[in-house]
Amino acid sequence: MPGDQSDSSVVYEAANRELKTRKDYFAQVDKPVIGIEWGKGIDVGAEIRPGQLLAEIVWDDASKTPIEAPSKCTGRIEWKNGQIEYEWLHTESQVLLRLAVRKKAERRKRTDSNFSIQ
Amino acid sequence: MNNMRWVCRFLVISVVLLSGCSWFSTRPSLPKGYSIPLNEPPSKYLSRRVILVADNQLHNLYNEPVTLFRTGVADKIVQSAIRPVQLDFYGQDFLKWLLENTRGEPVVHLGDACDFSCTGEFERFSEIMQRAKGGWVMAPGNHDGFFYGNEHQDIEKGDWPVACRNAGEPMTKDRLVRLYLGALVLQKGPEYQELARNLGLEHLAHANLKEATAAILSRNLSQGNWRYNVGGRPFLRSLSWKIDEGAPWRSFVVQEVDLSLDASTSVKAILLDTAQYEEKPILVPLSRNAGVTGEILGDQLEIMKSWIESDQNRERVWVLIGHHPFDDLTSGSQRAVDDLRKRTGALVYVSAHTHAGQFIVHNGDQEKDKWLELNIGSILDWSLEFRTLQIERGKEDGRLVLRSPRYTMHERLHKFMQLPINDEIWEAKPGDKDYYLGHENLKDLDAHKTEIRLKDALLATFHRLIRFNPTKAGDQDTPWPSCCRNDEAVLAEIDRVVNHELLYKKIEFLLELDRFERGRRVGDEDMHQKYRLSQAIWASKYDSVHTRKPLEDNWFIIFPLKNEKKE
Repeated sequence: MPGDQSDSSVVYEAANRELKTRKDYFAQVDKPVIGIEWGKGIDVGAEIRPGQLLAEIVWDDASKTPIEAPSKCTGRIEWKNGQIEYEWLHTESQVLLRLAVRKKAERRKRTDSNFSIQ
Repeated sequence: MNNMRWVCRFLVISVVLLSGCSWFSTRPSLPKGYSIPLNEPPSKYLSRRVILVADNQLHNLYNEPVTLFRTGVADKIVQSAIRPVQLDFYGQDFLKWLLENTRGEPVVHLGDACDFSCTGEFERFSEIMQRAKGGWVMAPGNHDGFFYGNEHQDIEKGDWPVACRNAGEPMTKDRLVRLYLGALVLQKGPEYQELARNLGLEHLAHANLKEATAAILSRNLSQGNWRYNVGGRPFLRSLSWKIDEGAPWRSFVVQEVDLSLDASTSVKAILLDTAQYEEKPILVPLSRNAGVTGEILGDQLEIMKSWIESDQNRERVWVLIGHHPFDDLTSGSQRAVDDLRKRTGALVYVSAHTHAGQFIVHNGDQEKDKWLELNIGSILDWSLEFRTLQIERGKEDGRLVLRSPRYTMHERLHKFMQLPINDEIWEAKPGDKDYYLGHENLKDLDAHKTEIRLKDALLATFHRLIRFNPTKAGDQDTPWPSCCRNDEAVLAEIDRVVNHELLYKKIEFLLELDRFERGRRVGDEDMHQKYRLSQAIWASKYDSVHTRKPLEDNWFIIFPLKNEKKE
């Protein structure tokens, strides 16, 4: 579930609009992370929304774990980390990407559309 | 007069041209086809990640005087002839920390595990490397089998046995190969256990290093080829060795490691032994000095070629790894490595030895044939470097990508442990008996005097260590020195032994202190680790510039009070 972040590899911090890795998650998995393969089109300028598949964690045994956008993680990617230190994901949380500040009009439009969905 | 002016002009121009030939020879650049992006391109991962570490130079601190090499004069000529005793004593904690704090990536050590080349040095090194959860392999360096990294000397008399006093025996190259095989079979992975079975050493699976060493030294293992074909995903795939007791310098160990992430692409590395010599290495002439020149002989090359030819994978990537930089190899060995590089299409040659890591571009036969060498710096000497290495394939254009971030211990330790800390009282300052650069004032050729000074500095180092890291009270297992049963008594005994004139008395007590430190428990284990690492950082840092001063990465400097300044 996008809303539940307790056992997730990432957390979204709405205050600074950053999607970050959770070091506790990586510390409990007893194998190295080889890398993070981003999904097609997940790059600066792309719009993302909660539940969307953003990337896959590739582990040392070649298995993969999906990274989905957590709840509230919605908007346009302003910056994406191009130098993730995979070596140290178990010792420090790292920022994967940052979303752009949403303009007032955009926010209102989204809120309206949310209402219309409900 | 006019002629004189022309002659002078001619001489000046000639001198400028001759001395400045390098002005006109440009360094090779990577051709257009290479990109050097700062950000990771969209990639598919082809290989596992390995940790690359080199030149930890584990040094026997309890040696007796070594003529020529260990004197103040020698240290003036060769910077690493004498390191601060604190760096030799605490510096291996860097390697320990790295192995304990990474996630279990396999480790490739690029050689110079030892310093004098003593069996005891290698045993201590193997003990540290057992922390590598994902397994480890090593390409031998010139300090692993040759006295002080330079030459093969008499092992019965002379400097080598004296240097190795209290650290086993001189480790000649043939012994290094034996001990290395012993260290491999003690590892936990299935390939290492299969190797142990192959060598008839499976009974060593639960042995300690001493037992393994004794068993391996007594076996007839003159030559061997081994390959892991059982299945699964081994790190160490193939191993070949020769142990030549008659001409130890011709002994070698060569290895093939499998870095493939999955079956789609074969990614392999060959660990060359660049410290294999046709002629016995000697100090002079320099061309035959193992510290200056690396060599690979034909028997080793044939094995590597057979491995390369037997690889039937359609999609394959090779990496070559050896201790000596390409430019330091004999011309024949350069041709051989070049041939291997072309046969495999090797992406990169990874080397060490320089202690100052860098990328090097080499000219090939043609413009498009330029190739890259990645040189790994030392984890002991500043800037305490290590790297990781993995291979990727770009999703956009299918080009191969080398990912090899460089990390430094001091930056990692600052980031994760806020080290060094407690500067005001932990750090040894100029004028203190254990000041890190005390050895810089040694100017004579007297090896005995030199060792007295170094042993006194080491005693003072223990004094500070025990003062700030008291032994845990009431621990019945503490291996106290024979003199004492509490820290106060140990400190008093250190003060007494510092004033003793006899070197052997100092060494005897230092050995007891070493056993004490290795076996005791302290009140605050976390502080103890931080203290030891802080000492190693200061020693390495100041040794790199031969003075106590801030380096480029220092943000803050606190100035003395005015009245303090006058003192």
